[in-house]
Parts: sequence; C-alpha cells; structure tokens
Amino acid sequence: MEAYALTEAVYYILLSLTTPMHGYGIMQNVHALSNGRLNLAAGTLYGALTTLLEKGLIQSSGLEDARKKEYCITDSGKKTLEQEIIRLNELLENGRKIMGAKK
Amino acid sequence: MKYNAYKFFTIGQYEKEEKWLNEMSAKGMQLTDVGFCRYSFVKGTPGEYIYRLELLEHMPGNAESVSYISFLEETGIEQVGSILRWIYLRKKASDGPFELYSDTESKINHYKRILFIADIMSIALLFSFLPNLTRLIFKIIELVKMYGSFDSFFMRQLNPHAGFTIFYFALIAFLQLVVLPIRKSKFKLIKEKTVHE
Repeated sequence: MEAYALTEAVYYILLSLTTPMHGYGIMQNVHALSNGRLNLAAGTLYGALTTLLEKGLIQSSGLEDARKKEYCITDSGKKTLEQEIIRLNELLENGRKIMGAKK
Repeated sequence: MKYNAYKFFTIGQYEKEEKWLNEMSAKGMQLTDVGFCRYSFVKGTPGEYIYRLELLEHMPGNAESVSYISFLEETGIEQVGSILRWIYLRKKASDGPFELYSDTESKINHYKRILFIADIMSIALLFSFLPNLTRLIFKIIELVKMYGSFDSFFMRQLNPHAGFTIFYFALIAFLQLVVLPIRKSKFKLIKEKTVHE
C-alpha cells in the first residue's frame, strides 16, 4: 500500500484511468478535469505510466504498439486512490478549519 | 529547397540550442534534419513548430526508445532527427505550448541523465590518468632525494611529467565546466522540490 502522498500528476492519471484510456486521452482528460490548469507533458506522462505499471497500480492492454496501448486502473490502484482521497480530505478540512477561524 | 547551417553546441548548451531552433522557426526556417554540427532547414510558415531536445535513456533504435517515441507521436509530437542518444522533436505551435516535462521530478531526472555522461567521462579520465599521477609523485620523491632542493635543474627534469598532469586536469575541468549550467539548474530544482512538487 502507498504510504506517501501521490503527486498531482499521478493522482489525476489514476483518476482518469477509472475509465480505460490511451496516453493522449489521459492528457486531454487531465486538462479538462483541472479546467485547463494542468498540462501533462508527454515525457512526464510516459514516465509516470511506466512507474505505475511497475507498481501494479495500473495495467495496460497487451498490445505492443504504444500508440494503441490502453491503460486501466487496477484494484490496488483504486485502493491507493481511496486512501489518497481520505488524506486530501484531512488536509482540506484542517486548512478550512484553521484558516476559516482566522478570518 | 534545403538550407544548411553549421553550428556547434555542447551538451551543457542544449537549452540554448533549443532556443536557437525556435528562433529559426519564428523566422520561418523549420528544422527537418540534423547531423553532427549540421542543421537542415526548409522554408515554411513562421512559428509553425516548437522544437525540443531530449536525451533518451537508450539509443533511439532500442525497443524502449521506439515505444517511447511512438507514444510521443500519438500526442502530436514529431521526431525530426537524432544524434547518438539525443532526439530532436517538434510539435505544431497551434496545438498549444510544447514541453516534454511538466513536473520538477522529471526535469531533474533529465538533467541527471546529462550530468551522468559528463561524470562517467570525468571518472574514466581520472582513472586512466592515475598511473601517471603515481609516476609523477614517485618522480618528485626521487628528484628530491637526488638534489635535496627545488632548483631549476630539478624543475626541468619534472616538466614533461607535470605537463601531462595539467593536460588531464584541464580536460576534466573543461568537461565539468561544460555541464556546469545543467548542474546549477538541477540544484535549483532540487531546492524548489522541498517546497513545490
């Protein structure tokens, strides 16, 4: 189980892959999810996908050609995502509580 | 109609090289092929493409690199050429900004890959030169024993050995100087990473 915080890119990649997607699809989806704030660069995305595959958080359809390769989140990936949402919630709640009280 | 330009950039200047290629693109000169110190341009629409350089982990023909490059192609990136492990990439400017890395970590990794080349070469030079350094030290001991002082005759005896040492050290210093801007950028990003992702 992931014990550390996910990077912003990894968080959005995992979230995107709850629906199977190609590499380019992930870039577009992350862009749309973040209202255009986040532009995942291809080199960074490829590196992240390779690492996530190695860690078993995502899987790819067996096609050798990277152009046709589709990626999908695994059960382990989903668990990681759920844990991260709990962690992010804690951050957000504390932030709102403390900063809200100061206003 | 092809226009050739001849220019030399060190690996420490690859960002400067990128900048130059993008300036050429702004003038309507689009890079279509590269060779050692040679850049081939075709006249096209000014600012049509944005160019980026990347040092791959493997040679471009390697299966991993092929898979990576075809992944890039899927996102609208085109490979213009390559020199050893360096690839020259471009993307239509109309697609929006073109960067290869969007987080600090992957930028640092790319810098590390470049620095690794310079460091391996420096270490190889240092090792190939160790026997000479040992010989130089023995020569000094021998001469000191023989003459007991650093007079001019002593220095004349030592000169050829010392010259060789200086040459090797200068070579290593040059190599490290070439990648110094990359090292500085890397440290800046590492510092940045303690606060921001």
